[in-house]
Amino acid sequence: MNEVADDVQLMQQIRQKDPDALEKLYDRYEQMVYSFAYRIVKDSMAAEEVMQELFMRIWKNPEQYDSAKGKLSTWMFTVTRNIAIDQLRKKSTRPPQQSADAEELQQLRDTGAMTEDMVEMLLAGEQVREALQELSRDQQQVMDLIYYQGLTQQEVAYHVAVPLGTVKSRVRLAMRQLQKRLIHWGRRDQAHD
Amino acid sequence: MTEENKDLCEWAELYALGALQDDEMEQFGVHLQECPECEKLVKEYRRVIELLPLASEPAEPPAEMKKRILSRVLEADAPVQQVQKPAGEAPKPVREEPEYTVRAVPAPQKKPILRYLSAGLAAAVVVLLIYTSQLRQDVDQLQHQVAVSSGPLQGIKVNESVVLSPAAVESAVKGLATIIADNSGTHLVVQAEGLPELTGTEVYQVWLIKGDVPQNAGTFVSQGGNGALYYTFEPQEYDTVAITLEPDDGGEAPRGQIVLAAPIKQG
Repeated sequence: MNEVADDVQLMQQIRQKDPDALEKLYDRYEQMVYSFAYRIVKDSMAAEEVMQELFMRIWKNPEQYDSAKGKLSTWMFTVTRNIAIDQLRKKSTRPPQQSADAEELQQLRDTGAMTEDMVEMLLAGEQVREALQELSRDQQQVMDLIYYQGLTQQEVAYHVAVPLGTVKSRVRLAMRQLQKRLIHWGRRDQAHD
Repeated sequence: MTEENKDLCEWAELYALGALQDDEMEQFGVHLQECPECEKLVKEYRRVIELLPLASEPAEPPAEMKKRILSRVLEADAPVQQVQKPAGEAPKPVREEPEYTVRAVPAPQKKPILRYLSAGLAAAVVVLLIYTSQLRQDVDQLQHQVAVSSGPLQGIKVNESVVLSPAAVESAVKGLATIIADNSGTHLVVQAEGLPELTGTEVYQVWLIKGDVPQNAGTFVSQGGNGALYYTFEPQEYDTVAITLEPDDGGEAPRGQIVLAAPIKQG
């Protein structure tokens, strides 16, 4: 897929301090990364801070991304999550549940020139969202606390006031169900690497 | 599979999500190398977890965010770019980066302040130079004015001086009329002594006469018989200067008697 090769090339240009390449990368991932950051921090200013930190790292230390280890988007999401969760911990806030608005996805898809890879990511996103919604309320809760708020098993047990074993079994069931529903996307994703 | 391993295998999901304590993460990491099942499972879970960011509901980025972020990132990098340049330097651990950027972010804020400060100081210097120059001009002007005002005293030109003769033969009245010229014009200075005391509204009035046309040169009141008058006029030829005793100071033509008079050659 050209998108992946293009990302690698952009990162090489960024290593050579090419600001145009940074802007191109920004344009390509702004919407997705911002949405993800916002999903975690639940605040537009905080999400912007996360974005800034991410692109600061990309610009200053582009060598931290190793294309041999995976797609750039995956790496960017991982770094974004780390930054956002660090920020949550610093601020010690408990973000409220967010409401879903499926129409925005369609609007997003309609705007701008989407590359094939981007469209695929959006489609995957739609299915992941559905898969998450199919989880039980308890499973959704533990996944939210662990993945979007960065809590450990112990912290979740304390937060939800359930035994460690219960957290473990809820996470296990949730992950198995997600795996069953989404593994084909994961494999397609892997095929790009 | 041992009992202990069975227990550890139950951590696969939590490990893939990074939801174990640090020591548990390490423990499971070791276990992974011995348990192909868990290794496979963790890989599959990770592929699924990597998809989770895509599930985020699309959020509208704030207006101008791109401009702000790119300018901050590029500006923040500018001062340290040279330091960073040496290739082959070991990449810094991810966790150290925030401190690095936190330090780097205020830098561009200081830069404009210094820039504005320098610009402000430069502007102040310019203003001071202009002000000093104006002050210098003012000093020059004042010096010139002093020179001008003191000049006529030295350069005053006495065009004519005549002794005023009393109209009455036996009168003790004496007078002197002097016509002087300087840069500001032609002046008539009249002095008189031995003048009779005035009564009521009486005044002495000075006339410059050409032919039989008198020109009022002003009035004065004597004190102890002495009086003087200073009158500036357009240079013009007159033939007589005279002082009359007038009933008041409102006359445009002589009404009273001439007290002193003298012929003059020029005005």
